[in-house]
Amino acid sequence: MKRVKAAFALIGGIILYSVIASLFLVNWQGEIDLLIDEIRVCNENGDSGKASAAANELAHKWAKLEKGMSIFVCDEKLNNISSSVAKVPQFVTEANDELDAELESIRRQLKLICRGELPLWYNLL
Amino acid sequence: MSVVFIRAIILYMLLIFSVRLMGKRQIGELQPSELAVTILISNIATLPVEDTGTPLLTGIIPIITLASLDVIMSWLAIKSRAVRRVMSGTPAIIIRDGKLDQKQMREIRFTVDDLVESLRGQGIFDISEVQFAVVETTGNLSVYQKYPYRNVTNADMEIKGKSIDPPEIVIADGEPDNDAMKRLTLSMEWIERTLKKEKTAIRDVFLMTVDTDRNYSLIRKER
Repeated sequence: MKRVKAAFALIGGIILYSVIASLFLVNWQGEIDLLIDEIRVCNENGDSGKASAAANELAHKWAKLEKGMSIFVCDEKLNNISSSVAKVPQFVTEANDELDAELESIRRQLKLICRGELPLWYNLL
Repeated sequence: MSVVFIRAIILYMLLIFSVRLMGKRQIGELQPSELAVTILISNIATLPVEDTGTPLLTGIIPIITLASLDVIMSWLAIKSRAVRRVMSGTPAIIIRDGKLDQKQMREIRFTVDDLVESLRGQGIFDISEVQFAVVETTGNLSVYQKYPYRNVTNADMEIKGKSIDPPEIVIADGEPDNDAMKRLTLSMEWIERTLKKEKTAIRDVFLMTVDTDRNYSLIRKER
């Protein structure tokens, strides 16, 4: 009976962990999304100083979140986002269309990662 | 390299834990589903070791899940006959009343060669000696021989005797086994007294076994 109780406890622990991990990912995605929006708005308003500060904050935040995410997500997926994030501060100062493309790429990849962790039918299949 | 090394240690510990969680079973005694789970677990464990870019948790979670489900399903199988049937199937009788059930053999895809080989493994070389044979859910063949070919037992010979449990190891490599002593209701004083009579000390005993009638056997350590 000890083994059965341990098995139930482990399964319960895994379910709890999965829920917490998903919540963390969604929360982190929200934080990055906010910064992306801030960069985009500042850039559109021609406030390159604020946009640059937000871009640096994005890079700083991503450096922290990347470590946490690597517990749940393959390095390959995170590397793509890291390279996009690294380009953002440079594109902010130069102010070109590529900034939008990179920001959209970060947003989309993060969305895909978060969606991939949710137990939805298309992920399960 | 150190990452691979540490990951391998973690997964090794996890595999030991999983196998202990699933319980003691020999390979030959595993049900088909248990064998599949065991193979699956060993395969999953290799993935995060080979690829350091894959999170270790992608190996840990399925291993723990499979081992836990195996335990839970075994527990359900004990509780419910229906679950037991689904999980393990039912034994198939292929020889009844000395007659071979060919239909049943075809159904479980058990060939004549399999049957003869299994019988030979049990020291039966003539199929006509078999009264009853069952293919167990593990795939092993259990055989009940016809009366004239069965071994003579003490009951047949009307030899009277007492049924007692086999001897247990109470000292192994100089270490007393307190659990075995408790089961046999042996005290440390009895052990010491017996060893004194044998002119030896506990630390010099390689193996000591005792049965419920306090008959003992002693092997001293070689110097």
